[in-house]
Amino acid sequence: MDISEIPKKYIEKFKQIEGENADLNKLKEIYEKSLITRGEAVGIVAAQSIGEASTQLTLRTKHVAGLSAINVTSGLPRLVELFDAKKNIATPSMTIYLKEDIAKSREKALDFADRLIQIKVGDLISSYSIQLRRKELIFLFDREAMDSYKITFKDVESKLRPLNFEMSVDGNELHVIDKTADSIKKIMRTKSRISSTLIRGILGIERTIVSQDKDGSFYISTYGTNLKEVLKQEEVDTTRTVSNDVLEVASVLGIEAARTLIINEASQTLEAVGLMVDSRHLSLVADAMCSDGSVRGISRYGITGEVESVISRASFEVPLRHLVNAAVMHETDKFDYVANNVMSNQVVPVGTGVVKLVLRENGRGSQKDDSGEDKTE
Amino acid sequence: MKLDSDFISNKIAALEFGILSPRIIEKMSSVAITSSELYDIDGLPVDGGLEDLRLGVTDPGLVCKTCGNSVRDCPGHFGHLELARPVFNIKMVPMVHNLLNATCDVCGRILIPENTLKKISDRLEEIEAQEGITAKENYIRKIIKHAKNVMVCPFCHARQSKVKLERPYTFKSEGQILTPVDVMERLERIKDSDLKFFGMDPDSSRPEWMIITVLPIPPVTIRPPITLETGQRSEDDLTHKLTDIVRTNQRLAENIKSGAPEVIIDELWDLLQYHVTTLISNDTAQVPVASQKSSGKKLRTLEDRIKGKEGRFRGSTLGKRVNFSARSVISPDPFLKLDEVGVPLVIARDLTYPERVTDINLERVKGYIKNFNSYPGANYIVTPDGIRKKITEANVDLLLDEVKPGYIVERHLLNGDVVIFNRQPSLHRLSLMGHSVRVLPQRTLSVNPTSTLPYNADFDGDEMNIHLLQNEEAKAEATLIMDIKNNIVSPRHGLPLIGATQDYLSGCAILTKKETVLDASDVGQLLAMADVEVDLTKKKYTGREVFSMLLPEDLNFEGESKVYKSTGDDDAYVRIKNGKLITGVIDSEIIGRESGSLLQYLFVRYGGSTTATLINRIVKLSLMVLMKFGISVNPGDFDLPENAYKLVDDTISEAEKGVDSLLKKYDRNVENQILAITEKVRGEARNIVRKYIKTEGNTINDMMITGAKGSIINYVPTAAVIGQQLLRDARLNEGYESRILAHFKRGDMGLSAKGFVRSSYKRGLNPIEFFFHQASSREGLMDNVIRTPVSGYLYRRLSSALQDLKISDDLSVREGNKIIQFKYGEDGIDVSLSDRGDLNLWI
Repeated sequence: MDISEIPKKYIEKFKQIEGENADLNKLKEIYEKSLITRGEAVGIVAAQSIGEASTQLTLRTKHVAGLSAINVTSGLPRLVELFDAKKNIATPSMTIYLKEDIAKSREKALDFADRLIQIKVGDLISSYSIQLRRKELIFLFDREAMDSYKITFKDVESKLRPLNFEMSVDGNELHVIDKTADSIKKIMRTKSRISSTLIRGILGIERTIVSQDKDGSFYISTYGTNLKEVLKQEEVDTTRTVSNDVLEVASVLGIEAARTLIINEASQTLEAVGLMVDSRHLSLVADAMCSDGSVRGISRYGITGEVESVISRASFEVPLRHLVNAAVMHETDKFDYVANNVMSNQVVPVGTGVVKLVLRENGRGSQKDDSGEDKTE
Repeated sequence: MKLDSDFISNKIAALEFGILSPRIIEKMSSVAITSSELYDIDGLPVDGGLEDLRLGVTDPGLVCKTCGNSVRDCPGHFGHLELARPVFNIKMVPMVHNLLNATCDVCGRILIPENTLKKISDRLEEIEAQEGITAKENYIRKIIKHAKNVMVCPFCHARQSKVKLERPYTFKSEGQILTPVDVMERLERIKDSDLKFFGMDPDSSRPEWMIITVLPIPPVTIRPPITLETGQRSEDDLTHKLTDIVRTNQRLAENIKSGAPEVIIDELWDLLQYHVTTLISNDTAQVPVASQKSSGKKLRTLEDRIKGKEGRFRGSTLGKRVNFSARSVISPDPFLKLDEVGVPLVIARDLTYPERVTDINLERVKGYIKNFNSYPGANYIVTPDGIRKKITEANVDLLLDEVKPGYIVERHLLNGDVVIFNRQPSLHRLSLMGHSVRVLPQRTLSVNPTSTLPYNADFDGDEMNIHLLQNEEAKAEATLIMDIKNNIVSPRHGLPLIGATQDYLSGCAILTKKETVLDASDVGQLLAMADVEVDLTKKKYTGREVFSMLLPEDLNFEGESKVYKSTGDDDAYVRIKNGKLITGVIDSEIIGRESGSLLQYLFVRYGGSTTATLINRIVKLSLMVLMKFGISVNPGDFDLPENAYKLVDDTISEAEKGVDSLLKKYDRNVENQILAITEKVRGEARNIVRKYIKTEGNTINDMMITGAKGSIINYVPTAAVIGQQLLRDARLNEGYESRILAHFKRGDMGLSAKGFVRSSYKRGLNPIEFFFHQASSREGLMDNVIRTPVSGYLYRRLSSALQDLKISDDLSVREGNKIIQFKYGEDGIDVSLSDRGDLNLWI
């Protein structure tokens, strides 16, 4: 091995301890001694490290009381959700970092945070009624709410215009006539279309909380996510802003970002309860989940269901489906996996089972074996 | 010496899957089933019945007519049943449906034009070669989906009518039912060359084979009848189901032959289809469950035998039962070495190791044979021909003469034998470790109490297993890799899981306090117990000097002790120079579990044996130190000065006032603010305790700061205040209308009405507080019960997904040929050799 293969951070650390002119050969020796053994079943070790730790996780959120922090899923449910690569996570949330000038001012940050919150027409309505004969919907607006959000009827109208309905404002009432409606169902659909129209803010952001980090700059935590839109905002520091939704991050920022997020979220979840799991184990799981360029969960629909070996797959869940499929597709199981060799009482091809030795009795036996090729008698 | 027979010469290299063709089923069949009767009047199996002797034997008195073996050696043989009319295989129905719709009704060709097929064919090969089978299957699914929607055949230009599947197994085309016969005709028309686009293969899976025309009859050996105590015979569920099939088939055949009306034939055909379906799977949607006639219990047919936790896969082949193992209650024994396990004599006489007789050990082995009646003896000898003979009073002398090199003697378990020690649940690899045997006159297995953490064991009735390894290769692996000495440091985080706890830490801390000085005679006593031999030249020794005598002479180490961390006392900072402890209190941060930096350093620098020896010595030394100095706690250790109690009371009253004023003005976030206040009470109580806790002569405090047991988190509720009890993350809420208990006013939202416990454990809880407290504790218990299966399933999924990953020669992580990581953990370092995840640069 060459000294250049040693990670730089270790060389630096070594020089810090031993001085600038330290003998790197000594470091090399240490490094080689610390390397993992070839053939080691690191997958199982990672699974066990996480699995064993997870028995000590709490099922319920032990949340920090108070207003300042948002309450995201934690403990075992969060870990399961992460490794499942769930589409709809329980508490989607973003941490939005701000550009320097805004991050330093509480007012500006609060102002920006307020502007992010989604306000839909429905949030401003106190009641509505339907005039069936005229195919008319009458919305009664809550003036107080509108004032508090500083929204005028003009704003509302301009947002609703693209929907192409006949509209008129009468005091606090908004009259909408839907000529195309020919059933109550249709009118109700129109009603929900109108109330879900976004007037201000970013779709999906339900609540924002401004907090201050250690170096004094403000950042925003949110309930609800919309990474793509938030990153478009000028005020946002796009280099650090993240969502906690792995699939969203994968689609907006790409697979490497998703991988990093899985590792970070998993290690934060474990650390929050004081459990130590080396990042190597978490990164192995994350890498296995992301290895084909998309995020796949650790479930029968994800990577576990896609192992090459039929028997390995069948031994996990729903065996018959895999067996029938294999029969139809004329698959061949090569017996180079763990599960099928366990089943047939054969040596598993990991750990010491990787090594194959040939006994050469009295110097006999084929000379070709010295080439380093694996051979069994 | 010929060892050939010891090696496995045949290995399963691959397993090919396919569909059995009727021809192969007939070919592998030993008998055609013709009768639904099982036994004749004499109680003998009927020829051509489902228990025909050609299908194998289950009765010890009988001989198999196919292989000529008796029960022990007859593997069982398949038979076959010629069905009067073909039926669908329920598991193949979706695939048949796809094929019917993706091929032409008339000419049977795949509904994709010729020129596209060429491209698809190339792509298929490419995908299979590069991305593997699962990717290929996904691509095939796409092909089928595409072909299904084509309405005109590109070959014969016939218009296609789509076949609808009415679950569970009725196919309809333009309202007409397609019988299995019709379907088979169409499937037969599919050309061999088109099959690859469906992932099929003309040699191993022709589509028409998916329809059952000949039913393979499983051997009796997999469905043995049980003879009850009453002498009555009880048939297996499978046999019951097969009898139904044979009977229905017979009736169907007769009716067809006699030209019965179509309706009757169709009805019987349908019944046959039902029976065959439930034979394969007895919980298909929309198919009534087949049950036992007498008891109404659901029949356990083929699918049930395979799937699930107790099924063939998970229950029989992935998890097996083993011999040469023992299980017993465990007890602690600090006088055992760390890597030993105490084994009761009764167990030792039953567990045997097959020792191969050579010229060298001949005499020793003969001794075991001679001593077969007591310990250490032997139970069996095995001749080179593989004949096993039990050693008895009658044949000892004969066997003693007979035994010579080449024989194997199954001798008793001896001191020093390697066993694997295990406690369930085996959550990580440290739940199974190699130990060295110490046979002892006791009735329980015993262990050194320092090794309980990796097993998660305690001694309140826990049971553990030992497994005696049966060959030298396995023994070598167990001693070199699995041995507990080599697993002191966990691969999870790189910290030692084995180390001093509780009294061992107290003892060490007392010994290594600055003030501790011992007479030479006491030192001699202590060191003798700790198995250390030193010449004592001085009259008095400091405790640190004594401790230093346990350490390797070239050890240099520096580390922050827990005492140093909490008090900042420089004298407590651990400095070891050339094997001499200069300053420092040895506590949990130095030698404790999951934190002991010295143990971790020793493990990486000197290896497992040295570390284990040190742990052994520390354990014994600490025990002796405690016996000499004594250690006791008293209730006064939890007393705080009067003014501290007053401060705590003030804090609580202040919190109450704060809550009252909060409640007066409406705020929708009031609950959260109250929780914040109660949390603050706890924090302040902690500060008060920290400030006023008696440090002189307070053993509890000593234990806390050395990490021996307990922490401020336990001390505060015991001495000062327990605080707010929570249920589902909120203040207690349930109970009577608008109040928890009838003692409160309706709508009282104040602290004490909503689960705040003012008392401390020492002062005692009043009944209401006690009620609050148990509600919260109960939640914790329930949480624990629910959590276990959830995390168990998570672990099962993780290990299924990751079990095949391994390090290859270039340190990359691969699954088969697929690379998962280019360098393990980005730097290739083994966590158990690292310094909490980083390269261990101390060396």
